Amino acid sequence: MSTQSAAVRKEKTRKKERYGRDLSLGRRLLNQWDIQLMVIPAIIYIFIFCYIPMYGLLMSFQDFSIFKGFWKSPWVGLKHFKAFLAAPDFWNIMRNTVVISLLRIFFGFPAPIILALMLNEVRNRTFKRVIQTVSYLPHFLSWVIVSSFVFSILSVENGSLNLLLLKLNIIKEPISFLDENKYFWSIIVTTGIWKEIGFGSIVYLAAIAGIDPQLYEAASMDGASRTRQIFLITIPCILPVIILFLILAIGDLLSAGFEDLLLLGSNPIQRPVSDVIDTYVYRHGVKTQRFSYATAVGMFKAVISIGLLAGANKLAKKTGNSLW
Amino acid sequence: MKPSTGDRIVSVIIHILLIIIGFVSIYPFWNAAVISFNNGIDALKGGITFWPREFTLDNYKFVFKDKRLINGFIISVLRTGLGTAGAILCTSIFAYGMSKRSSSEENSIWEWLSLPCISAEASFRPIC
Repeated sequence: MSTQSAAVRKEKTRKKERYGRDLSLGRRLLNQWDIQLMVIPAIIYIFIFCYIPMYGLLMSFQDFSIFKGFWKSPWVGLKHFKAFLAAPDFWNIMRNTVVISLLRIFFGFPAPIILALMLNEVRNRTFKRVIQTVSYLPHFLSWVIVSSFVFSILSVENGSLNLLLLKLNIIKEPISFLDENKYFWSIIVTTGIWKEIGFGSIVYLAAIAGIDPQLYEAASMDGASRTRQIFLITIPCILPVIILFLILAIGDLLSAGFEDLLLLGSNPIQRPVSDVIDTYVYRHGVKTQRFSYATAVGMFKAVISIGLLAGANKLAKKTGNSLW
Repeated sequence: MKPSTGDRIVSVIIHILLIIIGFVSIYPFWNAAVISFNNGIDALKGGITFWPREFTLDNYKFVFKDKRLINGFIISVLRTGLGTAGAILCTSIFAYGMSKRSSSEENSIWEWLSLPCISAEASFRPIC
């Protein structure tokens, strides 16, 4: 008995020596050197890939030229930011970015939640597993392959969708989905949902699995039907996870997508509806080597994104589910 | 407790919806696979949905003649394998270290330092 309590006391004093509040910060860091060492690889990684590239942001205040290099390029202040705000495409690009993102949040965000809720209601394990596995598949394809699927399925001549619609007598003649601007947003949102719905539902399924089964038992004792249990127990219990992902989605409002829009919207006719900030940066900045301009546009986007993230987080704090 | 009629209807609707989702997810894969087994000139005519019309393995013979494909495959596998292993190693020991240290002061320094990574993907795209 006494030996045990002595051991506990020894452990306590050891902990106090290592972490004690009265020690200075440097002293404490030194005392925990073994644990600090574990953190270092990740810190180096963060430093190399998140902090060092930041010097590149200074390019947006320069007329950067590869031949003069970073040190000799002239400084021009806010010239590139002004040029972007005055660009004839500016409002069109902003509209496309925001509309596509909002459509994604409105339709694409609830989709995996609904899938997870539906999968949770399935009692047959084999059926559930098959559907889950099958719905993950598209996530593992690159956009290049997905876009070729989309092109072949939506093509006017013998595309599967047109064949199906013709057979069901819904349309009289094939629709050229890919040449008409009015279909583009639906295509891009649907394809995004198709690709990510299964993978997105994993998180929600994990959250659902963590719900205490006693809640369901109590609810069914009180006579709540299974359908009511979804709304009264499952959804409230996974709400913190939903809010967390919603915050991140709002922070990404200005990243409407890059690869998918570049590949699916490769047709120049669709520029008025397919051009978003990221594709604009790629085509007007990187491709034509106007690096300063591209960086300025990218930075413009990043600053607004951080603002949106902070704003969404502040809102979420009111419900007690904030990111930080 | 026996499920009520309403629950049964909901369950049937859910099963139907899930079957549709499953079909929609798998169909493009199936379609691509079927076309890959079909004769190329015949495939151009279109209309191939569930089964190949003129079965052939020539497409695969032609593709595997190209040595660059195997090379690309090896690089992809290496990149995924090494990348995943490295990332898991780094993040798990980082997380372990963060969880072990009891004082919040040291932790918050690193937490704030790692914050830019959240939006790193969004901010620095023009550079890469």
